[in-house]
Amino acid sequence: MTDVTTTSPEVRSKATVTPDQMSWDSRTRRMVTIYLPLALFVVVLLFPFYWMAVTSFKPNAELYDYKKFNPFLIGSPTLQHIKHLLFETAYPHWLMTTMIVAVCATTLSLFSSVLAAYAIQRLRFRGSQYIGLGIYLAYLVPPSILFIPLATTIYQLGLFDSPLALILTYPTFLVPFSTWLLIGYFKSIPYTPADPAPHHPAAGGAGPDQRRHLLLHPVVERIHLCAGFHPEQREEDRVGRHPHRTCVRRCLSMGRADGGLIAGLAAGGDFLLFLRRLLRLVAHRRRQGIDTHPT
Amino acid sequence: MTVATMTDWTRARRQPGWLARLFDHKPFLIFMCLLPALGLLLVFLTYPLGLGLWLSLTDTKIGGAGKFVGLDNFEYLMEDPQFWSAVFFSVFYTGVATFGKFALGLWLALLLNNHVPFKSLLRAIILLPWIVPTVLSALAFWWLYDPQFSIFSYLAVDVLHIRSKPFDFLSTVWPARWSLVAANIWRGIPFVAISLLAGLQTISPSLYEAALLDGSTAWQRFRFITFPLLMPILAIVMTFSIIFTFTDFQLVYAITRGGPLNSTHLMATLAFQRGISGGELGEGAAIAVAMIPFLVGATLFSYFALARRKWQQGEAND
Repeated sequence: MTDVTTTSPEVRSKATVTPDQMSWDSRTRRMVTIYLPLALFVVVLLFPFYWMAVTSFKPNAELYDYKKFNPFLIGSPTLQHIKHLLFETAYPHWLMTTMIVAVCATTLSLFSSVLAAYAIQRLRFRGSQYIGLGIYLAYLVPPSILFIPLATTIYQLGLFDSPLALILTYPTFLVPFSTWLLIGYFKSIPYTPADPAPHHPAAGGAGPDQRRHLLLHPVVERIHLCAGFHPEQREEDRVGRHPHRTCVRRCLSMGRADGGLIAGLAAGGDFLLFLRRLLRLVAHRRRQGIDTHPT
Repeated sequence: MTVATMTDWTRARRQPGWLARLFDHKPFLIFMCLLPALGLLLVFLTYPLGLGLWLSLTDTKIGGAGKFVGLDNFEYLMEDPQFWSAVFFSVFYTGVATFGKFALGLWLALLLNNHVPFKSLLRAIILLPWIVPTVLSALAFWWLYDPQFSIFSYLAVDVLHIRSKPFDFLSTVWPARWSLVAANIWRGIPFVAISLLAGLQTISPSLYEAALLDGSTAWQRFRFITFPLLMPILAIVMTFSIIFTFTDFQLVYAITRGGPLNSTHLMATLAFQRGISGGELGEGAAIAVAMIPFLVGATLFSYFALARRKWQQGEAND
């Protein structure tokens, strides 16, 4: 941008917001090595979606005649297919079933995996790491080697042909994954300065207080994290010194914005931010050899 | 502890009820916390796994109890050319698709690691193929690969005039196989790219600066800084990718159903066809069980050869 006016690298790095741009990194070079391939990736990755969207709004006549109509554009958009779907098929019913199964299965798996991850990571008992390993291995069991015996199991339990069959089997694949993620999440929460006493319930303290520590603290801490900490840390967040913090904040803003978004997309994004946070944290720890446990 | 001996000026704490005291008992609390997850996993994961092993040793059919037949199912499969074709295609599909996903995914991650405008928006939309349910993207590809109305055929025949006939994506053996591999790569790129991007962002820029001062080439920087530091994440993402590509079901079943001539059956789709559609539960279970050695092999390889990390079991790293 300001390549011509600035001379020394120090001046430039202050003047521009693109710290990784160097003098040898000319605009043409960036165009060929970065923007062009990136644009290709975006086109290839998004084309099927564009194609599906175009297809769903085209009248049948255009759909089957590429000679007369340009297939990439819609000549006369129609809602006929959507009308057919909503009013002439059982689609609303299927949608309802999908929603019920999704909500119930997610609730069930989140409930059980939050508790399990909390027990494994925070209550620290003998053998907890083996349970952790077991859960990781359970995640590696792919659904497709299970479907025949699962169908048999469901039949044996008398759940065949009911939504309950799906609601109870989905957690099989969701629980290991979310527990594994949440173990990482609970680990990333420091044993806070606000609460210097260890969380071990065995360490004393009165009952109600303990339960507050046990159940509320992770939540409270999460809100603290989300609240963006202190102003001076915002700057660090912006430059990405504390990726996990930024991520958690973004999770929150995403959660707020989801009124306008497709719920699934928001959930996916949220979940990915989690995943990314976890992976980053793992790599970071590995390099630094940091262990947040005060033990 | 010694509440009784305390002076009176502290307000006496209300003694917690028996329920609260029960939940403060650590072993009980641990048990209660683990119960839902482990209960679900035992009933719907461990038990079916065992049941699958048992079924593979019986001649169970849908609607009837089977009896123990030993290794008959496996002996039969050993001589079944269709089974071996499925094994071959599973290995081919996994190998080629994993290579493609990681080559392109790493490239995309390196591109996204640059400072580009609309960075976050780009990252979000690139994830779409991974977030959208596989069956839906499979349908999109099925329509893209349509023998008569494929847009690729239109481009090649009517726009670019480089072919005289439409492409024949799904009705002959090898084109169908490559089409499925392409669809799988398309679906897998975002996951690999975003995971590796997360890894890339943890690499300190000062390492690159130091390397630049030493006069390194771009390739040397990639080979001696990026790649080694990316290794742990690469290993774990690759394990997942291999396992879930090898056991893929949805993509193949939605696009080709194993056709043409059963040439695109993966082991999972063959197990489904024989077990559920064909009713031979025992034989289907045997095919599913035959996948286990491959999966264990892939897991052990990644565990011992690529990276043995304590965090895989939720521990801190050494």
